[in-house]
Amino acid sequence: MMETLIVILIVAGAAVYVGLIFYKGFKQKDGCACGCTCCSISDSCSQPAADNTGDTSPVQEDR
Amino acid sequence: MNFCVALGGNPNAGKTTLFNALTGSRQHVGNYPGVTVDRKEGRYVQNGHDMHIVDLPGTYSLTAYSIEEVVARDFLVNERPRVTINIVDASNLERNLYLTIQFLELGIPTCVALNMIDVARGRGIEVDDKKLSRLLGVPVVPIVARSGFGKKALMDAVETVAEAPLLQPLRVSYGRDLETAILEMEKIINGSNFLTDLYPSRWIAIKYLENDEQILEKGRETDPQIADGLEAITRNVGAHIEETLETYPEAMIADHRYGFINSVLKQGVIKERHDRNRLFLSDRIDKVLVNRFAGPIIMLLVLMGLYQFVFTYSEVPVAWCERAFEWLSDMVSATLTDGLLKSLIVSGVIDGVGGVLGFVPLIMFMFFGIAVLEDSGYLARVAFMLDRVFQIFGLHGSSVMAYIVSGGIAGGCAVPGVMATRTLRSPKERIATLLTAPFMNCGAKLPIFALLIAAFFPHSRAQMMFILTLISWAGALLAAKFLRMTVVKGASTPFVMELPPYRLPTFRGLMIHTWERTWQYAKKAGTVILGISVLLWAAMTFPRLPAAQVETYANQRVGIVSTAAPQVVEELEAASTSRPLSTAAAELKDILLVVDARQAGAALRHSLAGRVGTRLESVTRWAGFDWRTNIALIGGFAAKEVIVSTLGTAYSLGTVDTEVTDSLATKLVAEPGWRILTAWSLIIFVMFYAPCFVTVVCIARESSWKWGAFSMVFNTSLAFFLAVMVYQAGAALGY
Repeated sequence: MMETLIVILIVAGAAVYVGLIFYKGFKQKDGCACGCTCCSISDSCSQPAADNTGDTSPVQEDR
Repeated sequence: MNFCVALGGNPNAGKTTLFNALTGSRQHVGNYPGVTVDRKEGRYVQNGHDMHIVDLPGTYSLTAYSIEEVVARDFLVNERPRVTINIVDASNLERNLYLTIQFLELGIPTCVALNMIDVARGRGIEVDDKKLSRLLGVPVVPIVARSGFGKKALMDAVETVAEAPLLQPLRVSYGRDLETAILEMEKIINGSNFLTDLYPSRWIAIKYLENDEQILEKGRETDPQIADGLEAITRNVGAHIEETLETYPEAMIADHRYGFINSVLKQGVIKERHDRNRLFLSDRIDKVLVNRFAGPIIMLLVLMGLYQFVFTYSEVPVAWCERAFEWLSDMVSATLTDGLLKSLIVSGVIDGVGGVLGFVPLIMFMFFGIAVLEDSGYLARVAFMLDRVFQIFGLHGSSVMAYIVSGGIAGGCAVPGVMATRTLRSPKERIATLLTAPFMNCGAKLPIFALLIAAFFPHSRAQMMFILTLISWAGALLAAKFLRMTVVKGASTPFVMELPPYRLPTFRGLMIHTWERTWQYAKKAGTVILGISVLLWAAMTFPRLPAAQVETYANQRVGIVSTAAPQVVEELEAASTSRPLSTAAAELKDILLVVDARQAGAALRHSLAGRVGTRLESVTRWAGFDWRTNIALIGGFAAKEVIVSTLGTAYSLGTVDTEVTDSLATKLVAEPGWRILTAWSLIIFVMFYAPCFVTVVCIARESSWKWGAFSMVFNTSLAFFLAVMVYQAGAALGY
């Protein structure tokens, strides 16, 4: 019984997760590459904006 | 102070490299034009100033022709960034300043970043940045975006521009004829405030003279009467110029802009140590690599060499991965008791996702090879060489890059490939390209091909991958020709491509590119593919076999055991893996395994997925696909890697001897329904059938849902037709 319950929970979780991914794919206005394998532009997905603090970052200095 | 900073410039000038250096981001950078087709955003904080950095697609002018140019201009005009960093290639200053002049004409607060100053110096070009700054009236800062040199000075200059009052737009004189027309148009524009809330009046007049479609359309929407008047002036001056000077207003405007740039540069801004006609190393290499005859042969050899490298060096690590997943499968099987949870973990997760993850080393080597070609600048040469071929098939030279990005060299992705079609100016060429780019062998198809090649063509892996690449290109080009002759008819447009200089790829750059893409692959396997595999496992497990049928199989087993000698049954019950069975016990075990296999097969066929797969079998058997393959191909609509994971799960659920854990490739070879012809048929079908869900959404976004739906129906029909042809022709020939 417990085993069946665990399996049901896992399958339901997977269904919700996959459903959400596909729903987001439809809804997302930009970056339709999100979730795509090997896609060089999909790494910008789900990050609102990359940021860098010039005041503190060591990369800031000229070489 | 919070403000927006845009990065604008010619394609391949180094905008994204600077964007990454400023924001700490890892946006994809390639040594070919047109990598960025959409804007990217990040943040940079300095001296209390919070700057919102926006990386714009590369553009040669602010006259909108292609979508990426529209994206760049719309942002600059509508969003009005406080400062625009105009990245110019110091070794091609004259051409790059053409865009700078247009920024200044629009009155955009600009700061010029003189990028690749090291390359310019290497070519014997010295640029006097201070003099250039004085002549243009905006800061000019030498930088090397790749190394970060000059970044701090550039951002200091950006702060200065942001705090300074707005500049008056630059006035370039366009000659008496055009200036008279511009003055007349300006009067009308200012008198009626025609679009003046968006653009300077002189700029609107110039865009009318340049026949800028977007401005003409906007003008007609705003005030048709004024727009008609302005268009009439444009026509009159155009006719006059054509009659007297045998040229067009657009050409005259470009000539005068270049004249202005030359007058700036001739004031000692540039000092060249060498003769201008001297051949640089890149040009000398190109004499061989893009040679009319040697070029295509070298291109094919490079491709073959890449595949040879990938399959040779990835063979051992792929075998390690396979063994690791087999070990994990054995361990979990031995630990958990028989039941649903064990089946889910072993068949659904380990055998499903493990099949996809097992190819990580191969994918990694492939990405490394592609990164070398990309960073060196060779891919741009491939596009250049293939332009002539593409013209024959009704496509454009820019379509080549979309194909390559989609997986023209196995391992790309159709989504950025579809997005790369934004560089195409002709809508019809664009539709033909975005519909056929998904035929390329993307990274998600790679594990499927690698699996089938390993199973059925183990001794010619690289050669097979090479042949598959040629087949996908030939298929895509023929399909494009068909589309251009039927649904997207139209004339071809000319293609001019800038060939970037060859650059020695940096080790760090190669590692970052390889890691980023490999990580994307592994991440997807561990998330989306895992989720879909669990769902497909459930679809292959439920509804379960009715109790009556289970009892029938149980009775069969009892019957077999009851007819066997008691000592043989006892031996089998007490058997362990370390001690071999007697002949009688082994025979009994085999008989029982046959019953188990029958029950597992019946359970699979009874499941939801099994029923769907079996229903489809009546059609798909023409292509040699059984019901298991049908389930995998349906799963492949979600993501192509799911085909591997579903086959892994389907053959794992059908496996009854848990002591033998073979790789999926071994299982396929042992399966009676599988032979070389079946593998060929499946390869062809997978290569051409409907793009994955994400790509279809992307096609729909970049065109319309009509074309998204068309790509699914057309591609699947074509793929099935080709697969049936291959299978039936092969079968008729006795294969």
